[in-house]
Amino acid sequence: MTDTALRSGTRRGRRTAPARGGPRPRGSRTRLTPYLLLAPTLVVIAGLLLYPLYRMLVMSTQDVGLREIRGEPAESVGAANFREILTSEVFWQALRNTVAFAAVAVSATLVLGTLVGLLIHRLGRVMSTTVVISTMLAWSMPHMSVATVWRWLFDEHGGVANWLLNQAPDWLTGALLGRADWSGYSWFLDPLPLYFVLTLAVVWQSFPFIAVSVLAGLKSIPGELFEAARVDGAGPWRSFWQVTFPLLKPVFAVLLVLSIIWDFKVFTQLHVLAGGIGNPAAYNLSLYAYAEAFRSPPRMGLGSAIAIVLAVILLVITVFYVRQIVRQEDVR
Amino acid sequence: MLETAPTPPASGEASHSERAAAARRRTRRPRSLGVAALAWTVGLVFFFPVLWMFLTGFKHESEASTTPPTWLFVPTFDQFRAILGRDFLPYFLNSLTASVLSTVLVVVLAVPAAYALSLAPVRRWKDALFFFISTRMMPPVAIILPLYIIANNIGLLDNVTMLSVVYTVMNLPIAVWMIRSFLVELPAEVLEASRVDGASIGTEIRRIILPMIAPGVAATALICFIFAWNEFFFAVSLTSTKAATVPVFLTGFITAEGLFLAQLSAASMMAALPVILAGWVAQKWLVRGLSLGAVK
Repeated sequence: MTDTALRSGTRRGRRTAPARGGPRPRGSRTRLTPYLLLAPTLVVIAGLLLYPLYRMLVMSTQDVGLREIRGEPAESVGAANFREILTSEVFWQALRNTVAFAAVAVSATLVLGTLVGLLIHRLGRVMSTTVVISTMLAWSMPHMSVATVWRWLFDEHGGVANWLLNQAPDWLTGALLGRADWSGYSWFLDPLPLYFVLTLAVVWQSFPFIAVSVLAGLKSIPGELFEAARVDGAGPWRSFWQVTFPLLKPVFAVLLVLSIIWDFKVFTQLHVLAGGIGNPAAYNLSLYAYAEAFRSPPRMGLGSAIAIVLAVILLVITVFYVRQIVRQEDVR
Repeated sequence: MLETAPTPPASGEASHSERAAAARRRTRRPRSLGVAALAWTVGLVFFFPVLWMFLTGFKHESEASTTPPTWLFVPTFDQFRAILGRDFLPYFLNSLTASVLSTVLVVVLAVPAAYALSLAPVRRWKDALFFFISTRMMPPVAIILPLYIIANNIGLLDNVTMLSVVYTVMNLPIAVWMIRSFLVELPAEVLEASRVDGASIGTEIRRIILPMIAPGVAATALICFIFAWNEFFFAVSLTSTKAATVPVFLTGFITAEGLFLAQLSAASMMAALPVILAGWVAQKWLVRGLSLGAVK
């Protein structure tokens, strides 16, 4: 890939070099150069993404095991992989997990991120810097480490969560959560508590990014607009929906798409919290695809088919929004 | 950064904005207390898991997993020493190489591409833009299988270069989108001037555009660096011993889970350190860069 980049680089250099000599007809500069500027990126992405993608499409219709990975020709099985997925209970469970998790996590991330963004916007310089730094600290931690930290916080024996729940009055935890004695309670066996912790971990780590983006947007709104809304008797709620939201709509649209993409594909944190691929009830689509592709013996064809299903779902959901974002920009 | 300076109010609106200022003065005191309390809570909630990890990293293993949790203990550097003894450095260097190399490549590729999608748009630039972001919808699992086989065939399995290239492709679409959003903000007059002067496109980018969008590019680079540094999935699938990165190193403690809690948190701290440092240094740039691109 480095080669391609270099080659296109020199091509570009040769093209623009004469321009320094003196004025040139405008046409030659505007017509072709943009394409040459775009070419390296397109080549890199196409070469390293489209080809594997094409291979994946092919593989999803094949039976790819250990022997095929070593280079033997794979046997085509038609749509058998997809049939197997669609009739498998594990797939539907994984799909439910994926969609439910994404719905909860995306909304929680956006709502909390926006609230914290609004909060930081109202703080003084020192305090806002402190909160921005401590939240960005959380955002920039390796997902591995964060997932691990959360796993200990909810560890069955030494975890802080169980300890705290045991400190709380028994009648309260009993009434709210249906359990009074939390010593040794494992959060990572059943899907529901597992995904609860996963949601905490993912939301905790991803809303700083939303908050800072929203904050950046807020800073660009002239303060007079808020003042005017307040004088007109609008409370914080109305002022948000009448002033902030309409103005920041493009920001929210981008953040929504990014959050959907990230939360649908969440892998690392789940892999850590679920403790690997041993528990099919805990799969989301990413982990399910990974599990099928890399279990022993590996079934890469099946894994590819699952990955395709996930990609298609994401594509369908986001096409709409991304189109809208680009269209909005056109109007401006 | 984009904050508009308060413009002197037109005579008719003077009373309006004065009243607004008065209203703000009246409500400030009681509300700011609540806001401050809320801010502290948010800060603490965010900080707690990090703090817990930090504390655990300085404990002995026997203190790391007790019920109730140990709050008071004599700090020790044993864990950090043990990690350095477990050959942490090669992993660290692999991570650094892959992250820095891929970030440089991303910026070098993304700036011209973003230019061609905004200031001197190619035909069908919307389709190109959409194509870029759509590549991010592919789950990494989707391309890992063919990528693994390809890498295996050309002998680049367990190779840092391969990993850098993968990270470059992974971050390029987002970088193009971000840098493009900064370019769209640039005032048209500046570019017109440079074009009338007959500056070549290379000169224009280097002399005029880059200095103006520097904070945005820095923010983009930092985000790409963080993504690459923290990337786990490709790293664990495409490397084994020679090219394994820090997140892979961390999994080594998790399989032996329950036994090395303190060591794991010490390792996590060391893993997070460069990112925290980079984030700290670039914090101002980050907020500024994001605010450049966030709103038209």
